[in-house]
Amino acid sequence: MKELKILWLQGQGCSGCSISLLQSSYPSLEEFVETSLRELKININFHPLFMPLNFLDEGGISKLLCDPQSDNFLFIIEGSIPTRDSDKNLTLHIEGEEIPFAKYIEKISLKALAVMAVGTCASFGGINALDPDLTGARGVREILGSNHRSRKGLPVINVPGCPPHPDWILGTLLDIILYILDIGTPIELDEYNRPKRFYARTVHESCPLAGFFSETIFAKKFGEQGCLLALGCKGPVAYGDCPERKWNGGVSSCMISGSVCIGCTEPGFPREFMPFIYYPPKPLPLIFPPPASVVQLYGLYGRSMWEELLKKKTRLGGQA
Amino acid sequence: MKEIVLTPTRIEGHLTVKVVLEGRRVVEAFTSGTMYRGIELLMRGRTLADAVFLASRVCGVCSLPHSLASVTAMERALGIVPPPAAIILRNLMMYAYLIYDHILHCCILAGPDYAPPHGVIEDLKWGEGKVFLEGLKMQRKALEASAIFSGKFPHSASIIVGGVSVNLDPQKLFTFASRLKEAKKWVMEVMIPTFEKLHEKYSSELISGEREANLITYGVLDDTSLDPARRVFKPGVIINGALITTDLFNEIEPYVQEDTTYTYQGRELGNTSLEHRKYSYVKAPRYRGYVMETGPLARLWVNALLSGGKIRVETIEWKPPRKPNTVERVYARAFETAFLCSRVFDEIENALEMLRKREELVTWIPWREVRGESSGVGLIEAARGALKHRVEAGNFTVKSYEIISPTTWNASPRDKYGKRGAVEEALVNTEIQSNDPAVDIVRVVRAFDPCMACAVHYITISRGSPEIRAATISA
Repeated sequence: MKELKILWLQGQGCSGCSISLLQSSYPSLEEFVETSLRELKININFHPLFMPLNFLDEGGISKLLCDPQSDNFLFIIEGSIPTRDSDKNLTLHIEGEEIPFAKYIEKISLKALAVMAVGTCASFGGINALDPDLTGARGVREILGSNHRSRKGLPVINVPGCPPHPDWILGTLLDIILYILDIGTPIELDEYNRPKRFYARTVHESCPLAGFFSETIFAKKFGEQGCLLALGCKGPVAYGDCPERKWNGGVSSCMISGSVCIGCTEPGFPREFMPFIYYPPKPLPLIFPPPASVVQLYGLYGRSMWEELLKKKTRLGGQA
Repeated sequence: MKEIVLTPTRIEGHLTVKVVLEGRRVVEAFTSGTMYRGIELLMRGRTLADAVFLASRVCGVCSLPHSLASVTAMERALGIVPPPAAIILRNLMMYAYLIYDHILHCCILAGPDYAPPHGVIEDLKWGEGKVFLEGLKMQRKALEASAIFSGKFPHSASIIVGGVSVNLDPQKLFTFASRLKEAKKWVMEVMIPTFEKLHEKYSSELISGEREANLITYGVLDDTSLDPARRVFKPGVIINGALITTDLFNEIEPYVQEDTTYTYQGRELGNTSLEHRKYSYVKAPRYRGYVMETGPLARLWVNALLSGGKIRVETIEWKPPRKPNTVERVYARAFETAFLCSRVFDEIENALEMLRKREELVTWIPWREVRGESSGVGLIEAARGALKHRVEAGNFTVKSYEIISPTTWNASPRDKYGKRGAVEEALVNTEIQSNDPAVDIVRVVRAFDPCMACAVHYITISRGSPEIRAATISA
């Protein structure tokens, strides 16, 4: 039986993505790694939290990969990559040589079957790239270049979110594995390389409070019933199916708990989404029908305007 | 003389350890936090309400205490007292979070240290042991309970300056209680016996991680009076085994000083050689000059001394050991899980009592934007120990922000008097009993549940080399 290895590395992050992954219920992480698909056994070879290895010794991670037989692996990165002082900051050994993390990622990515960036930090720089951006934190796609293709011809696949939902991580992983086995459908990505399976619609579209929006019932303070737009919710301009998927075994989500969406799956997070909370609430113009136009007048921009804005403001420059 | 440099895995955050061995004894130790992200700096200029969301991102494992410490600091700066229902809801989230974090650490991260191939406790074997596999499910269960009120975990949504955005309702309370009942049953029947076995087997056998009983805790889980002395876990400082104070605001917090003799300043990257005077990104907090340890052992010890020298949970009892050591640290964490599982039902009672009064339950009170300068501090406990957030605010924005996380205490470097940090002290005099010295060293380190406050996890090692080349970053 062939083995498919998974190499999960952490850059600058908080381990939140790993903890989120540990919370996956069906399938659980331990179940997922015991799965065999066709003639393929999935094996997590390196994950800083979830592995039997006690400590790293000489050779470290590269030992797991330098073996010419072992390039049968998926490469997952959590956390951003520092580009400032990168020779002193986050260095790794490979074949006896010490190189910056960014270089390491470039090198490993050449051998990987697919490269996946988990979390907003690894996808776009995330919170670490917020000004003053001391460490020059960047996402994986920016390090590898937007034209990068893995050995199986896949671009860097981003699974953003702070943290990303465990279903998004495992679901995308499954899609990639099926693609590698040539039994899946092609993985459809949006212009920020997010799988459309999970990121095709706005948070607002699947929000359980969206009904209040169409009835123009808006909460004026926290704890009140109503759509949370006036309190700063970014649901209409953030993409992801988290409200219908719900978190931690489906018990709740940001809006179900009465709080606002802060747009954590977006390339502009958190810079473009602050202030997260509007208090006192922003008065909403009472126009019917309310959708798009209200959002636009309200200063949150409609979908197309928002995308234009992001293209201008983010370093990605909207390259496909 | 032999030098070993290594990076433990299965810990939170980035910590590199260097020890010097003489025969089978550790004679010198350095712990180096080699991380810097600058979260405190990027919080400047944000509104107080937004900064709470950023503060949570300090750590994905203990994001809830970071949210709570931050929101407390903001509320103090604004002069807001959160409504009683919000305090109870925050406590419920916190109980469930603590239970999750302890199960995760005991059964998944540290437990396998004592299982084959290095130890004898079969049930804790990585990937196979009964307690390991069930522990994975139970930490999930406990965290689900926490997320019922916090919206999601990691990075809670519902904790907002002025209270919480979530409502207290009987149905939520019911599903919360049901999950914790399941967790409690498992903790009492499966987890505790396993760790009692571990304690019995290793407490005499393992000469590991002993240091003086100098312990600090800020206390956690407020009652509705918000008086620190009435918290479930009381604040307190123990010096050489004696409780010297429990006065959080007058006697504990003002006497915490930070030493940076061995700490890199700002972006002083690159000088990562341990022979260099500065060797860590971690500061060295000291209490009246003493090196302190923080964590479940400190919390239980203070509580035990305040309640007649012992703590009882149903049929099991905990008494302070002679001195803190590796096995006691691991066992204290397991015992505290049982303690929390039993005490959380008191808090559920409090919540029910509040519902019975049939008053309209306010969980959030609006803030007024304060013009002018003010400051506030949030002092609570994360699973791994004392956590402080401090904000200097002006015109509702953050002027400066400071975090001292539990691992800042535990994994601190030396201070200006050359006194070692707590993990370093614990490493020295540890006896190497396994064939591979690294096994014993990693056990000592992991028992502190290190969480470098936002883990950047990078990792290179050159064994036997005097240099630590893993220079990373974080706040």
